[in-house]
Amino acid sequence: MTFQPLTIRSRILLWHGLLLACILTAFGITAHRLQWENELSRLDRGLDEPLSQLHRSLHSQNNRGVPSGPRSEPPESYSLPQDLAASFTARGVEFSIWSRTGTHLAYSTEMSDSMTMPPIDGVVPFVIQRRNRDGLREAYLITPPGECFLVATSMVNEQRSAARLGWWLLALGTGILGIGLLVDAWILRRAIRPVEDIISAAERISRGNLGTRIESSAGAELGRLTNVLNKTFASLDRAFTQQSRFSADVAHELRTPVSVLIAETQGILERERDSDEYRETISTTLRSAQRMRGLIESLLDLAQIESGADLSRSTCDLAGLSSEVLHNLQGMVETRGLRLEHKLEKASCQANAAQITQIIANLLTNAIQHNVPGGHVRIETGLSDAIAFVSIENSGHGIPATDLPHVFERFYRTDTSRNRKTGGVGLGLAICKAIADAHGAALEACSLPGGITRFTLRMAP
Amino acid sequence: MRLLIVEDEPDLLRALTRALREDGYAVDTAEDGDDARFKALECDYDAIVLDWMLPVMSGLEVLKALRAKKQTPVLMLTAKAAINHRIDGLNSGADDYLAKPFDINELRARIRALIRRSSGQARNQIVLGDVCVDTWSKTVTLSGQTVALTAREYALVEYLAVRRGKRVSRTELYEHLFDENEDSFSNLLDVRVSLVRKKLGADFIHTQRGQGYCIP
Repeated sequence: MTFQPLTIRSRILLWHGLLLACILTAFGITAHRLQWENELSRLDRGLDEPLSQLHRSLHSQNNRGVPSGPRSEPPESYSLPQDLAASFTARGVEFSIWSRTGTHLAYSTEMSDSMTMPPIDGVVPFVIQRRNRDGLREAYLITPPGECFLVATSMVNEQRSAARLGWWLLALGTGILGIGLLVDAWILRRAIRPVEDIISAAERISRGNLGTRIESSAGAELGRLTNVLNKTFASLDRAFTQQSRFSADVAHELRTPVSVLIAETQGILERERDSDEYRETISTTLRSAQRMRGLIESLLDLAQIESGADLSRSTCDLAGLSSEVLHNLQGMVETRGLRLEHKLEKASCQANAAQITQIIANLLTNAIQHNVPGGHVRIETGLSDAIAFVSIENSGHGIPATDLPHVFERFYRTDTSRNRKTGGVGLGLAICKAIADAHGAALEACSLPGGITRFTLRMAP
Repeated sequence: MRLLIVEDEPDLLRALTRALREDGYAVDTAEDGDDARFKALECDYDAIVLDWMLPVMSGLEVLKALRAKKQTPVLMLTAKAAINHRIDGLNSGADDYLAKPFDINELRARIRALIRRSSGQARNQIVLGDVCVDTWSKTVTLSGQTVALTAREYALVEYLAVRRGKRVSRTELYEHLFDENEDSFSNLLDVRVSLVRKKLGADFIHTQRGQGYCIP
């Protein structure tokens, strides 16, 4: 069996319960005690008069006819006068008298003969002492010579009612505790509900349902948490969607070359072929393999650029980089019979020369490949508002307005097919965009009238 | 049997064409959606193998245009492998769906099954008296003995066998046994019929003068 850690709610509930129980116990004990003392002082008040009556009656018997004065002889016996006895019985008062020698002079029927005198050491004479004994409340006083008068009354009823009060207080306290805990649980449940919402949303997300968002119903703190979490979930969702779309794209891009490989090799292996057929098949499979290699290399490039590694910058001139690329692509422009226009003005910027060269090369290659016979390619560099830029435009069929926002997406092609005739794997512009983003530069595409497409790279100031 | 293969990847198109021609099919090809639609509506193919992502016009649009007029069996052969794509393809009128990369033998089996079903057959064997035509192994037996036929001869036998009892015109035979690159005004067909008769018996294929051929 595993130990389940307590939830915050049960811990708060537990502490609240404990606190409430302590308060209720203290309150109950105080109330019970006050009530008990109240009862005792009522009993005590009822005993004061019998005590003084008893005292007076003994003295009046001993000093009958003799004026008050110091007594020489201790009385030998004593009997309670009839009227006093009747009044004591009526009030339920018992009594006991001890002589100064400690002899038990007289006692009522309920008192025991063997009952010893209360201790007199250190007791101030004529001050009424009180004590509880055997369910009796007793009051006694000691005279200076050492006589002791004691009256008592039963406190069974008071004890019983105190016990009743105790039970009643216990029941009341338990009830209040219960109600308190219920109310507490309800308040806590309301307070914790946003947390529960967050938990259940997070659980749904962990099960893979990334579209889930937390229903915001919370106050200030949890509301902020909810917003932060929702934003995190949204960006996770975006990242995962992008990732899975990308994986699907990669798988998709690999399907066609793999199909060619399988179909070609299965077909050629079915029977004996002549050497021309073998040669043709082998060159086809080589083309497919090269296409897959191109795809893998482009993907690695993209991953490396996006990871932000290897972005050492130095001062470079866009005009210099462009003329270098132009020099390399000169042959391609000529074989296609295109007109090349260039206006290269110095445009210095801080950048990674190799990566910026890659952008210019990709854009120029596209401009040459997506051209029309007798068309032109135009490249311009310079400063615009003190910002270095390079723009490359070409004649051609133009990019439809609906496609423009998507041209930098991976594997996006303006044609619904993956036409192989122009080559490429559909990652060239995505790589350009990734490099521009890593540099904080802006790369834009626009369509001009007459089927002209222009790409402009503006470096960060 | 005549097939149309629509595929914009030239290498794959060539590999498919070669494999299916070697099976004895007459194979026409198209590399874009527009050409595919034109050919599919123009000719009565026995089956069409259709890619989804094509220049000019997508395979799905070709399929919808075709389904508005014809019932030609269509197998979609595409890199779109997701379940919802398969569902879309089949719902748009495709009879079968095969995702790339595929095994060429599976493609062959599916094409065979499509043609078999569209001609109302459920089995691969067609028994015509002493002669048994097996469309799976593409063999013909006479009294239990395998008869060596060329792929083209076999195609003729199979086409007539699945339509046994029906009269098949010369034009129809030309349309289904020869592809767009062959000269349909030659007497190739008569030559082929006489070769089959030599191998399977003079009565195997009846000539209905001026109307065509028939296997009774």
